[in-house]
Amino acid sequence: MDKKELKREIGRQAIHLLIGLLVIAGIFYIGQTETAFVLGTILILGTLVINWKMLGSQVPVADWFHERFERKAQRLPGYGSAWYIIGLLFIVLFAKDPNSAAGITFILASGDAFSTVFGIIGKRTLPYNKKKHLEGSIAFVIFSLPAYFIMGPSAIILAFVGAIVEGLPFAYDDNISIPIACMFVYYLL
Amino acid sequence: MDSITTAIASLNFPIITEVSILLDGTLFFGVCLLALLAFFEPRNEKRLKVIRVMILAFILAISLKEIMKVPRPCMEIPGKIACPEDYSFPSSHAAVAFALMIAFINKPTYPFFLAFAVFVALSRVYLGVHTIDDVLAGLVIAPISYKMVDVLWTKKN
Repeated sequence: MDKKELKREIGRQAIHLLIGLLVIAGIFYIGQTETAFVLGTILILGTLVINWKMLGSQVPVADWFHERFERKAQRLPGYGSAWYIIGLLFIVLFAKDPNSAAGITFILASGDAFSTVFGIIGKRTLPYNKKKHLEGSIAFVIFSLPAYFIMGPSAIILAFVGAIVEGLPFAYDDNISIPIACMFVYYLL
Repeated sequence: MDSITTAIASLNFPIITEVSILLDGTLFFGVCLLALLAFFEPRNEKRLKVIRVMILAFILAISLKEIMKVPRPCMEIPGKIACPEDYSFPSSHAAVAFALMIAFINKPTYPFFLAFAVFVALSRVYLGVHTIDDVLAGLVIAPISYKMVDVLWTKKN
């Protein structure tokens, strides 16, 4: 990956992390339901923007974000962003309490963001997925661990679950597969 | 109950109540969805795919209801219609309506389907049979169902 693409990817992951932190703030300051309502509204309006873009319209703010932060290989405008909002909404709605909602959100936001960056510069591929790097998976775990201070010891297990799922060669976007896997394991614990 | 659900459920407009009650009926709702799909989507292959998505969204919703076991808000505070006996979270009406909506995301008719899905979702809260969380969960289930059918459809073809 060239320097320009790397810079773009770092910017993308910074926004990914920031949005996750904003959702965590929302969970604690305005409530889970209210945060879900905001996310749902953003998602609904976002799909309208996607529709306009797919029909060939210019949408200035969306175009600006797309140029600077969306992956060039992405087949549909806003596809990655939409899945991220869906993943966050899933967590906020299905989590039993604010702490688990915030903790799993942190794992998705921080773990996934740092794993992407470290994965790009990583050298050793995963045995079960040659397209992903071990350094990325390790970074996922390490940068998810602060969720321990939000939701307790279960964060440690979920950090590993998220790292494994993130590394799998799935057809599904990480932004939904990680929340579903983490929530499933959390309910089992 | 959260303030958003309370605010929507406390509204009272006779015409909206009548339409919401009509859409509450499973048969009428189902016929509506199929009619919209048949009228606005000319390709049989796409129609079949969307029907599969809606069926999957429905199955996921009713399965999750049994797992999550969240009681209906009308169990606590009476709604505008008789309280259904099944669980509340997530809303199967919303899940299926949003699933239909997604099928038209690349079409000029999308705003109509979006408005329809949002109306169906909010009507459930308006009638007092769901909370806002329930219908938002339907909004999550819809794209997941779509993606699952998409992956399976691509593998099959």
